[in-house]
Amino acid sequence: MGSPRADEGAAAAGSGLPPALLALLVDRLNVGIFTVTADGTVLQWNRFLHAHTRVAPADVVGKNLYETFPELPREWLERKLRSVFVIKNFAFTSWKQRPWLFRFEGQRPVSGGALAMRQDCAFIPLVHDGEVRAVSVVILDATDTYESQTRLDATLAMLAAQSERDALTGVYNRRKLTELLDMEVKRALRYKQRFGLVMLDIDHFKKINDTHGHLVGDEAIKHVAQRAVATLRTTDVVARYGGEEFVVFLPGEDVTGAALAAERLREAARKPFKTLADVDLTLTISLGVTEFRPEAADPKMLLEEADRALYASKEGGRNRVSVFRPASSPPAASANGSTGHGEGERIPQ
Amino acid sequence: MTNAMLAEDKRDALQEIVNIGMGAAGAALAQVLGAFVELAVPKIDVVERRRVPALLNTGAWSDADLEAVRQPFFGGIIGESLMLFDGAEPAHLADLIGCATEPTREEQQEMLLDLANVVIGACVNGIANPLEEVVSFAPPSRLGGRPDACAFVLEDPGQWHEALVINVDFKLEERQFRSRVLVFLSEPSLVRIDAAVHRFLDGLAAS
Repeated sequence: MGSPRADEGAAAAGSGLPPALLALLVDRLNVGIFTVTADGTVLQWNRFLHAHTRVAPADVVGKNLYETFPELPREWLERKLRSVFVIKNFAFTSWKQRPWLFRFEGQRPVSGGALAMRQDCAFIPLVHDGEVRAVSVVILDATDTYESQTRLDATLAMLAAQSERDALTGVYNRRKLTELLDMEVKRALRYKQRFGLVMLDIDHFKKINDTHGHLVGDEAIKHVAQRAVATLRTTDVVARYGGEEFVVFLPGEDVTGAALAAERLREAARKPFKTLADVDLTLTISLGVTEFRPEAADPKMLLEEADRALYASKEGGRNRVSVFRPASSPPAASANGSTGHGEGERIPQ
Repeated sequence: MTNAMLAEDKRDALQEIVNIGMGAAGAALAQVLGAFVELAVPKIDVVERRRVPALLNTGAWSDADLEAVRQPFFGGIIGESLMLFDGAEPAHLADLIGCATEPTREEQQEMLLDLANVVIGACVNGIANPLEEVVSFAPPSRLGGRPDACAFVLEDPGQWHEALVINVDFKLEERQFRSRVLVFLSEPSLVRIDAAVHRFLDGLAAS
């Protein structure tokens, strides 16, 4: 593939700079440049590399690169260089995949601490008379890019996290719930698994607001969210669905398991909590429970079922758990609606 | 100016040049990769921007796992290459790039970039060398899957309307690895290529 015109010796001679000045230019450039032969002998080593490695040209030129720097990833680097000699073409590395070729630490003694220089490298074949005589490796400092990218990544991750969380309680918001619930329905269908779903809200929330003010109302909502997160498993999903309304789903649980979890949560929620004004406050919650069934594989329908069970708890006197019974259930639990479990009387603790 | 490119004799000549170049590219690749490289006959076409998405359609390949790497080049001829990879897990290629252990995500990305650089370089030089043009390369970078690859060629419609596209499909023998390389030569370099093909033909006639 080599051709007489693809010859960079001629190009260098055409620069108009006397060779001594050209050598000086290469030496003083503020990028790292070294040149090696096919057998790994170093032909040239510039000032940038001298400064950062503290190895002077006199101590490395004419010597084997890998013997002078045993810490280099020799097998990888040899392969990379060989491809440049064979293909007679540029090769590259990016800090994104390989942070550095030579580890240079403490480049920014004031602002950067021990941050090692991130490096982009270019491997340039020096072609003369159709053959690659040597390869020059150019090392660019990419630490600034690395720092900006790292900050950008962190910001994007934070924004992504914020966009799926409820600002007041820190649990998932309704949008994320919809997304997670869709995924859970698909997963349950594919792997023939089940999951339980609970909808709950705070009893007489308006009265709390009217009596203690909206700030305490907010604290009541936070209290319920905290109790839910503390009581349930980490694999369960807790989301704020609306004002004082939450939805929880429990992967792997059937309706009985979900009702037990709901009962534990009902108990936990009614334990007194201290408001910021140091007032002990007690509230209760009502809950409605349903479960995923292959024939009810619609997230909206599941939410609707849990909502109906929740309504039954409200109707039954609040502070209780009700379970949705599909119409096709055995007669023993036939009522299409719900069965009240006030104070956990029918659900073992 | 693209009409000149379509002149049949020059187009045939360019096809011939590219065929020879690809043969050399295949041999060099085989030497570096230690695997036989099966290259399809390159397809040369002048393509309008709106037809580019069709070029990205690799048919039977899996859409979901499509990876794309792009690499601009400059010098005697100017353009940009796009290499699309089959969803074959890059882990299959670990030994090609000299990775003994199960590669990390970064190592896999590095492998794809390396492979793209080697293949694109061989293809572009395969065109540039017979035409006696010297080409330099910018570093390769990853694009996402196909939609992103499309966006790259379609964004900023002010830049170009037509390009000469050289389309090469290739496989690595005994491996589940397939790829497509698209070399886009921009309108300004078409004039140079036209002239270079002209010189090449004159050289043949003289010898």
